Amino acid sequence: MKVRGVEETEIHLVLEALRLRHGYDFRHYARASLRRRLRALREQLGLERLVDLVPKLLREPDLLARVLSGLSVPVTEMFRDPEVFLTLRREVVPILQTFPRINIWQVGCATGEEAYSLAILMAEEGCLARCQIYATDINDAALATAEEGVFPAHRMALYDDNYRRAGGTGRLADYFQPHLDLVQMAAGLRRTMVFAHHNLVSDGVFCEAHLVLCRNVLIYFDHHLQGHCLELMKGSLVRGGYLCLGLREGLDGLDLEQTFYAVKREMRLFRLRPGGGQAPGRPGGG
Amino acid sequence: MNHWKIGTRIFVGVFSLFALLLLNGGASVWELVRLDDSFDRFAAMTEEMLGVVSLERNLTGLRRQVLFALASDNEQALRASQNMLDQARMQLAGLQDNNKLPNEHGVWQRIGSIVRTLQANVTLLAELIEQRRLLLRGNLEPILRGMEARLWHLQHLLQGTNGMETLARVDGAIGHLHRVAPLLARLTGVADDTVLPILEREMQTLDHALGELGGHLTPEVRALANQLQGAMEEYLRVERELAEVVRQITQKENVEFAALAGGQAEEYSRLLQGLDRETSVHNHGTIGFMGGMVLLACVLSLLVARWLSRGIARPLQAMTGVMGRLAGGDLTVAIPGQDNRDELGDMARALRVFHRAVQGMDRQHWLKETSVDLSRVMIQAENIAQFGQTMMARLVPLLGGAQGAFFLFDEQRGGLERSGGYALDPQMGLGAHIGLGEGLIGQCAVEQRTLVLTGVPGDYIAVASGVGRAAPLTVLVAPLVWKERLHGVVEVATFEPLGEQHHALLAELLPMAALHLELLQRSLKTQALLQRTRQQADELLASQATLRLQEEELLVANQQLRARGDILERQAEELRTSEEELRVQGEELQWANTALQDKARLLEDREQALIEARDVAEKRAVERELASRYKSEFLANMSHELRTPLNSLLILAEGLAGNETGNLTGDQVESATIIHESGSHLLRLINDILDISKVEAGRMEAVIEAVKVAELVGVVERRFKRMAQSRGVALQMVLAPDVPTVVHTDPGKVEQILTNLLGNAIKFTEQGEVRLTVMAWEERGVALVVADTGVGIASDKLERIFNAFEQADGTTSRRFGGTGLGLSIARKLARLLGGDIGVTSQVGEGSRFTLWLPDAAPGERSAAVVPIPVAVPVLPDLPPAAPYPVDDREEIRPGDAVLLVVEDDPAFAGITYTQAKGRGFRCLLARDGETALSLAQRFHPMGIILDVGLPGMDGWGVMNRLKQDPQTQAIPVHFVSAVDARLRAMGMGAVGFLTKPVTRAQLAQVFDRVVQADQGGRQALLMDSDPVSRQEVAGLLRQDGVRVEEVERGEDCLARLRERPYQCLILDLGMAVGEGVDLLQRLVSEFGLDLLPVVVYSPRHLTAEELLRFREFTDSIIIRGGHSSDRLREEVDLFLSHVRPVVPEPVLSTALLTGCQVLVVDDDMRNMFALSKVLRGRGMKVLMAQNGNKALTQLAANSDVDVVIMDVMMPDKDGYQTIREIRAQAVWQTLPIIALTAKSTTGDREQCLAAGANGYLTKPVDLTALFDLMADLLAQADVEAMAS
Repeated sequence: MKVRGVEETEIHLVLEALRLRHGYDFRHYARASLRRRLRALREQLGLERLVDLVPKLLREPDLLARVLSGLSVPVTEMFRDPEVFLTLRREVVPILQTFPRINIWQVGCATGEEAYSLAILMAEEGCLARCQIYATDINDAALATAEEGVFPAHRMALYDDNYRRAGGTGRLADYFQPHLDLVQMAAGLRRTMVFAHHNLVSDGVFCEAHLVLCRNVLIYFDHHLQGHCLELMKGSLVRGGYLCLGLREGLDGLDLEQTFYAVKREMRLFRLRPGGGQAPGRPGGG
Repeated sequence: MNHWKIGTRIFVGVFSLFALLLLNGGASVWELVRLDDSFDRFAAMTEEMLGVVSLERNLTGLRRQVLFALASDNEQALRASQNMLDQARMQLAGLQDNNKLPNEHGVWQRIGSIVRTLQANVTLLAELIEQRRLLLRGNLEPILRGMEARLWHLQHLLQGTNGMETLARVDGAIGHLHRVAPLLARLTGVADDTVLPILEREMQTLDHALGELGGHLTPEVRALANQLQGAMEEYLRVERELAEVVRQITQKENVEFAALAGGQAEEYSRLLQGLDRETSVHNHGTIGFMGGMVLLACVLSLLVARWLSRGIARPLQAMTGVMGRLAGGDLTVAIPGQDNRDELGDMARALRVFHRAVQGMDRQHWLKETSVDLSRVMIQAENIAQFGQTMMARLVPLLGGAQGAFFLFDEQRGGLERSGGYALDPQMGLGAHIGLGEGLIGQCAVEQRTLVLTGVPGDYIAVASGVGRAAPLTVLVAPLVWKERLHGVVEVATFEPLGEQHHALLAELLPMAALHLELLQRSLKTQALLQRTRQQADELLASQATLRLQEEELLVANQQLRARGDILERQAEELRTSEEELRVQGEELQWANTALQDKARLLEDREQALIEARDVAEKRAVERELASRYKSEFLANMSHELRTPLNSLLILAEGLAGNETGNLTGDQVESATIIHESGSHLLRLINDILDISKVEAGRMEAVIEAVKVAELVGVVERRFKRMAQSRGVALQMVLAPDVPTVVHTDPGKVEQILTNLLGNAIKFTEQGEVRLTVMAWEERGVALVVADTGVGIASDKLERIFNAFEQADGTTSRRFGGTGLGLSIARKLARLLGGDIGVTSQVGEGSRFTLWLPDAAPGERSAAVVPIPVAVPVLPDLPPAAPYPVDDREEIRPGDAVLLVVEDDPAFAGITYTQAKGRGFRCLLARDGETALSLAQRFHPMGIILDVGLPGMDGWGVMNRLKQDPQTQAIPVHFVSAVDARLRAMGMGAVGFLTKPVTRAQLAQVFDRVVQADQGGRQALLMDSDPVSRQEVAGLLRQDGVRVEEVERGEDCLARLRERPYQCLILDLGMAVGEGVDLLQRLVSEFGLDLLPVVVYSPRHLTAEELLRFREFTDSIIIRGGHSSDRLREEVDLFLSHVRPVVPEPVLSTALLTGCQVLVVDDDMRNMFALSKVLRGRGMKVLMAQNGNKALTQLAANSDVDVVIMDVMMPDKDGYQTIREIRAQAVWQTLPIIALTAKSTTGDREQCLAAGANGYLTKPVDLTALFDLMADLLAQADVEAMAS
């Protein structure tokens, strides 16, 4: 058996504790990034050694949320990479509009800015009414923020810039109400959204999606988990559905081309090949 | 009063009677008339006096009111005094109107002046109050405003930094300020005991609020707050002081005024009572007197008329004069006849009383007038000096003084200061200070008592004028005291002793002067305060302006900072965001790098191995080459060595066979012949081996010389003529006209080649002819074609015939003999000469060998190979670049799925072959069009994959031929070509076109498409009741090569489907939704669940319910608009070309479940319909609901639901909630509910069960597990139902 270093062993034990006690399997997360975040978490919790986290994880159920928050990277912004949203607006939405219902699954929504951006985009393209946005994450704290739809007001300037570059047709300010130094997203947007806990590692397909956005999530996974996630997304997507990955996503490890073809590779925008998903023409194959 | 009036009237009447009685008395009558007039005037005066007394009373009240108002700055008091003033004015006016009396004695004037003075007092009072209000506003309001602004600013600043708590506190402080401000504004109007505590409380609250803000306040705001507090405190102090003063004034003044007014009223009433009493006494007398008078008048008038005229007329005359003077205002008259004991004496005495009363009243009037006048003057004084000057200027003459001085009491310094004077010695000047108790003045101040010095010595003081000097007799030193408080001292020197009148005047004037002084001082103080406040306000304003400027600068700087901060923050945020991602990316790159390095290392290793292998191979090649050369040399040598004995052997054998000596038997001759033949054979063999060895060893050389073509042809013709004749084969030599006469080449080698070719031709031709045709080969040289009508060579063997030691057919070989080396040598020789040999052959029809012979110009003695033209139409057969793969044609059995691939590139042909095999096809390969056509006719493949660029007949030609032949025209053809000509291909009826290079996946699709097309062609049925949109859609699809049949009505649609199968039904929803659904239902009931694919093309949006109904039949629903035509084409194309995978369903025992009713709740429609389909397939009835609310509605409408399958994760109302709501109803307590979830954590299972689910399954649903669970739950429910 291969002998590991102290830290590797500690990380292994922490991950095993998470998996066995709480059902969260982080073993296939990119190791270096995971190590960094575990180190930060150790300092944050004031622990001398990482392995001290193990008994706490086993016996302090309240700690789980904090650990999950610490292990995920809840970084998002509205209309991030505006050119991607512009592409979605110009090339994807016209096709989506031909579906009687439009379901969008946003994987790893963090604090929800991107989900709201999608809602705004759909609203401006006139199809918000038949649109359902599922935004999922494993970080409950981030999900709570997302559900509230309350963001710091000072970020809106940056978002406004993004919004305009993403081809926004109105004013971003019309979609939220300021309260002192915070803003709250319009209730009309929130009505179309479901924020839910979903673990890519362990949970299955839960909706039929016409567009899946999974931006800069896969980079935190190893190739095994990336493949698993792609299967999940494939399973969720309808025939001819779209997949939008992050611009930072390295595609080398992903065997995308078997099931997807690139609509715009530089935008990491793909579409399910005919026959790549389920059989067409009749209720699916179970 | 009436009594008095009646009395006087009777008196007058009696006097008139007298007058009538004494009409004849002449002068006496005139006297009587005058007396009557005097009485009238007297009466009027009395009346007037009474009016004045009433007015006086009112004015006293008014004065008191005004003074009170002045002291308290009370607006109400002010208003009250103004009302009283108006009343007084009206009263005055009334008196003036009612009495037409002359006004020369000036009583009205005096009263008027009093009123005017009071009026002035009221005006001044109003001004003072206004000043005070200004003071307050001027003092507090700017501060308040500044404070407020600061706090807002603070609030603004705090927003960026701290939490809500601080904000709330600031809000609180500002709120207090807002409350304080109107309170202060109200206080400016009224200052009394009730308001002060409120103000104080507010002060405390503000103080507290500011204290709470504590550390959050900026120094600026704190300074401002302190300033505000200071100002408020100062104001409070002033208010308290004022309140105190007011209290004192109101208390004491009430008493004093009461006393004063009481005294005056008492004096008046006493006076009037006296007057009344005297007149009433007089009246009583008068009544008696009147009786007497009447009696006298009646009885004795005529008798005593004369006596009367002498005894009464004179004294009456005197009295009338006195009365006239009195009425004229002369109060100094003496009244005669007072001592008379008669009626006239009584009259005189009465007149005396009246005289006294008038005198008293006059004195009082003078006093009041003087006092009011002085008051008016004093009230106008604007400062102490002016006050002193004007007061002394009035007072001294009134007292008949010659000199006077005024000393102001300075409470702070505890002394007196000379502040005004009258006719003062210039040497004495102003401003001298006198301590308390110092001298007379000081003493007076201490005692607060008037001191009068009489008989002052001459050198004590002197009064100087322009004409002389004199020492005054009396010096008066009097204090100015108001409410026991000293305000100053007045010193007056007179030449005359002071009378009672003067003392009365002083008693009246001095307290009033003191009061005015106090008012003046207070006014000055207020003014000073106002001044200071204004100054402060100005300073504050100035400082505020500066502050505001600074603030703005600060704000600008702040904004810049914040902007910069924002940018920095944003950059930081972006950096933070990208950092982790970059890191991860970097890590991935590193990983990839490592992997690459590993691969590189591996490659390097392999390369090394390859190099080594190559080295070895090279070495071996060299060795082999060497060995080969050795072998060839050996062979060459051996040939010689062999030939030599063979030569003798042959010669000997030939000799023996000739039996020249005739001594051999027939058998022996035959044996010798066989030996010769065998020897010859052996020799040829050896020669061939020698040749080939030479060529292979590179030792064969071409000797180029000019060769006449005709000669060459003649040589070979001669050589083979006999042989042909002996075999009964015609030998033809044809020389084309354009053939060059001379060719530079090696004639020996050409001969050898031709010998081989012709020899073979003749050998393999049993009948017919062998023809040698010589023609020009472009500009390069000549082509010599040897054609025969022999057995021919199978195409697959064609290439092999050129291989050394191979022959077309083993049997042939046996039949015709030969070494099998000939053609190989011939080709090698041809290539040595720069040409080549090609062959075409048809089995049974003969072969056709072509020798291309280039004209090697002299000097170019080279073995260089001239490139062989590829596309010489008449000479298609060329040497291949790589071996062409072998196909399956030998193994094809009836019923096999056969695919024909027409492809000249062996590599691609091989790939296609392998892949087709992998998919279970038998695969035929054709490298040219002709072969393809013959294979198609022979094998009838299910599909053809066709290249365009082919040797000979190209792909288009093949396609044409295929489509013309009824046997092959139905075979689907898919083009795969480097030429992009999709349209042309589709136009010719191809099922697809793919441009090279292609991927394996594309190739797989090609197979799918071909197979699909084979199963029925691209036939779609389009149903639309609207002809315009139907045309549009059909046109669109036809562009894609789809065969579309159009129907207008549902009936037609059904009829067509009964006739023949279609790949796809397009339902254009021009009709009502219900109609469309009905049609689909009829289709299903007639054709089963596995209906052909349906595309619903809807011109409008569908409601959730409508969508649900359609989704039961298809998931291909397209809403018009956007890029809907693109999607329509995609979908139709997919249905027409895609090979649908058949998903095997598990074999399950579900008998128990048959007939039961299941409610499936899921927002994922695919899942819901997939599940529904499976359940229906098992004979269950299925209800569907897309969300929790619809599920509840379905349950309410269908009480016979046996089991619910509930998805957990749904929008709006999730599964947990829905289950709880179902369980909340008593009817559904035992209803089996199976929860479906995409989640797998343990918590979810518990949550599902806690919500009331009976079972739990994860997605994707394992059908076996689902049916097991359903069966379990239903059995359990049955047991429970039976138990209950």
